[in-house]
Order: sequence, then structure tokens, then C-alpha cells
Amino acid sequence: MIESDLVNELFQSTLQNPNKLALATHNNSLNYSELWQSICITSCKLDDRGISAGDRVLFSLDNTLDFIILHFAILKIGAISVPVDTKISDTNLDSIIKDVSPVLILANKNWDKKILTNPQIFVDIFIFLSSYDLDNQKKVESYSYQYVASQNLAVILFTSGSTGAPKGVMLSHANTIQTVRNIINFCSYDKTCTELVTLPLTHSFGLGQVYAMLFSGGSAFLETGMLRMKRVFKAMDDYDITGFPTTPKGVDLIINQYGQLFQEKGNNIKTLVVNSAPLMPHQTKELQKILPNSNIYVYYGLTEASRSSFASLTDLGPDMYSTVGQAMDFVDISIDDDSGEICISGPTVSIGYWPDNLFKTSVKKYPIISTGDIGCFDKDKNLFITGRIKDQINIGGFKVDPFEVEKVVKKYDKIKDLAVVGHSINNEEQIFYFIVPFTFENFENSDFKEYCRGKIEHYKMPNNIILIEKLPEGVNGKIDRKALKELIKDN
Amino acid sequence: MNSSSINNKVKQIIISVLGINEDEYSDELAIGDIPEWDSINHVILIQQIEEDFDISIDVTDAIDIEDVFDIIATLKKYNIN
Repeated sequence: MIESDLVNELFQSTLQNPNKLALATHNNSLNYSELWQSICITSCKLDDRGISAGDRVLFSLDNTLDFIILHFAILKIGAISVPVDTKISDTNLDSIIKDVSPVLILANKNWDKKILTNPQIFVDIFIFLSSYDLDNQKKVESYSYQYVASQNLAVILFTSGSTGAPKGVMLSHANTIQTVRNIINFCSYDKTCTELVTLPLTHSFGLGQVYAMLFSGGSAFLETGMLRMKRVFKAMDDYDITGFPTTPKGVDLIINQYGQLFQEKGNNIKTLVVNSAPLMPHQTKELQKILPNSNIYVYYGLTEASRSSFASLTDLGPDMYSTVGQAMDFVDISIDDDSGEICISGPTVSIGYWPDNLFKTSVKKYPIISTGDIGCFDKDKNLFITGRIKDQINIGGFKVDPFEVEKVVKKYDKIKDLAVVGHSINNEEQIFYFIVPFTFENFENSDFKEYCRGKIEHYKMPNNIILIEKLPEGVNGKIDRKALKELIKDN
Repeated sequence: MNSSSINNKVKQIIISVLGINEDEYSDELAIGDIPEWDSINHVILIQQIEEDFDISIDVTDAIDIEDVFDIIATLKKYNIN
């Protein structure tokens, strides 16, 4: 049972390391003592505006020191932090504002045109943060810290959801602290670590890495995205960077574009946590070649249940590059016998979506979330993600995992690429094979069917084959299965 | 090629690679200013500049490029002027 809150976790680090570097950007830095002072002053400003416990404060900033200061200042007065991406669409922003009814919105002055609902609660964030009040300085000097109950809501993080309105994931102080403790333990973070965080702080991955640095007494260098790479490499020179959390897209950039510079300047990088999408085994292999002294970690989790399992791919070795590791401390990961769906329960799991869409609870009284992912364990309880439940095909009651079929038949030597999807015709789901052959003229459907016979069950056989030049991809680089289903309709 | 035609060619490459309208372009445009100029498109943009001007930009020069002005300055460095 967690008996602390996020602000207290930072306060403890401040007491232990007041003069140590806490945060830095390309043009500024704060030690723990200065960070704490800035948080206290900002929380006084919020207090002056009448913000109180339970109020929602929505703000939008890039990866800056102000983001972290404002976030902790909101938490310190017991209010709920609602950080949103600076590049959020007007539609999604309006939906979020209507959903959370914030009492204050802090963002760039250009947002005055974006905020359609309750524009009167908008304040230019830079004017707000730069205002100075001597009384607030005095209040901070006579400051005493009051704990916030660990089960209280700390943050609402909105998931980007490819369809429908964004959903606000409610995370308590206790949820987040348990998650961060798991990260710190698994990755052996301590006060000697300095991570370079280019991931958006409005997402649980990026924010979690900064928490992990601050609560372990380490330092975080903040930069917005892998855009201004000169700053990234300068930070590696100036700050002895030991960790670089990134996404598979970031890994591709390292491998294909910046490998030489990472090799030259990333000698001290010991920790590479990769998440947000699956890291392909060939990416792990290439990344490890560029940074042979680094430990490559992957984890499995959603915003609703962050860092549920963790793996060090470097320690496990190439044969295990497809795993996302074993369940973290206190986290239960189970797989539904019928559907194969992964379910997660434990103290790290959100209670649900804002305001009252609560998850069911397990027998241990923790929230339990059905992830929509399909997976399996090996004998050592290492988890492998094999697909999405919405992609699962139901052929007359037989459940077909398209990824499993693809894995088997992809070995046919005339196939360059392949995707298997299900589509209902006259209320009966059928299996469709979209095949990119090496050459169209050399591909015979009958030969392919013959190849599949005996390798897959009869109901999985390729009775509907569509030859295609290239499989459509979504923005995340994954196969766009929805687009393939549209193609079936068009045919 | 004079400086005006270089500027115009760079403008057309940026508009084409980022998939933006002409009115979204400005000579002050920088990486990250618009969602389209992200890390992936930045790499594609540099590759397109290399291809269209028939040069090979060293990675240490490439990381200096953060806006339109930097692209023009890099081209000058590679004797495109």
C-alpha cells in the first residue's frame, strides 16, 4: 500500500539532493532546491486564483522546465493536472474541455482562438508563470507541506485513440508512484543517471521517465521530440547522458540517420527504454550494434496500466527479442482462456475513464482492464503480444488470430508481404488473404493453397486471395487493416 | 543558379515533402513549427534536398539544419549559390 503522493516523492529527493541537477533544457537548468522553490511559488499563484483540491487545471506546453514546475504545482495544492499536447486538434481540445470542465486553462496565447468552450477561463501561460509576487515569495518561505491522500486523483491523461473522442485516463498518486517504483527498480535508476527525454510529457511514457529520474535523485534533460538534433547531441556532450527513452520510430531514426553520432557521443548511454509500439527484432539487433554498451529495455502497458511488464532484451538475448517481459511487482497479467485477450490488474491500474466510466475490480479489489491485445506466455511467464482482439477473425465459431496465420504462411517463397483480415459477407465472417507477391505473373493461387494445406487448419485456408502491390500502412507504420477491409467492400 | 531560383526550388521541395499549401510556407518556417515538419519528414526533406541539388550533406552539417534559412546556408556551404 502506497502511503505517499507524487509531490512528497519529489520533496524527498529534494531533501536528499538539494544542490544536484534536477532538470535541464538547452538553455536552462534547475537543481532540486530551485525546482522545489519554483513549484512552491507557482502553487501559490494557483492558490491566489482560487484553485483548490479536486479542481482540474488543463495546460499545454512543450517539453520545458515550466511543464514540470506547473504539473507539480497543480498536484501540490491537491488539484488534478490535465496536460494536453501542444499540437492537439481543435476538435479534440473542445471535446476534452467539455469532458473535464477545467477551472483554468493555461497555454500559449495563440490558444485564445482555439478555445471555444469557456474561453473566459483561459490564461496566457507565459504571463501566468512569469508574474512575480513578493507575498508569494514570503508564503513559500513559511511553507509547510501537507500530504495529499495517495488514492486521490493526480492526473487525467487523454489517450489519442485513433477513432472517436479522446478518453481521459484517471491516474491516482498511488497508481503512478507504484509504476515509477517499478521502473526505478527494474532499470536500476539512481542519482547517477541522467536521461534525455524527447518523448512528449503529455504521454505516460515520457512523463513516467521524468518521474523516474526525479524520484531516484537523477536528472532529466528535456527536449521536444527528435527534431533539433544538434541540441540532443550537445546535451550528450554536456550532461553525460546515461539514458535515452524512445519509440520504435526513434530507433529507426537512430539506425538510419544518426547512428554515427550516437556511436560517437552516446558512449555513456546505459539505458534505452523503448515503447509506444512493438520494437521489431531487427531493430533491436541494429540498435544494439550501434550502442553495444547499452541495455535495451521494452515494456508492455497502456496509459491505463503503464509498465505492466518489463524486459531487458540485452540480458535475454536475440532469441527473446519478441517478448515484452514478465509482469512487474504487484501486477497481475492474465490471459482469457476463450479469447486469448490480455487482462491486467494491480495497484498501477487506473480506476477508469473520467468522470465515471470505472473498470471492474478483481478479487484483490484492484481495477482490472481488458487490453484488447492478444498474447501468450512462455514457460518462464515471459509475455508475447500476438495481435489485437479486434483483428481476430471468427470463422463459424473458430477463433483465428491473423498474425499467427501470417507467421506460418509468410514462409512461402513467392510472397513478399502478406496480411490476413476477416470480413463479413451476408453476416458470415470470411478470411481474406492480401498478398504482395515478388512477381504477379509467377504467383498461382492453387500452388499457394497447396503449400498451406496441412500447415494451417481447414477453416484458415486461403479461399479468398487478393493480390496487391503494397499493403496500406497507417500513420504508425503498422498495416492498415481497416483500409484492407474497405478494399474488400470495393471489390 | 541564382539565389532567387535556389530559394524558390527549396520552397517547392519543402511544400512537396511536407505536403503543405503554399500559404502555410514562409521563409521563417522551422522544424516543429507545424505538425508536418516532424522528425521523419525532416529526414526525408534533407534526402530530397540532397537528391535535387545533387549533393551529399554530411550528418554533422545535417543536424545544423533547423529552418529554411539553415537549408539555404548549407547549400551555400556546398557551393550551391
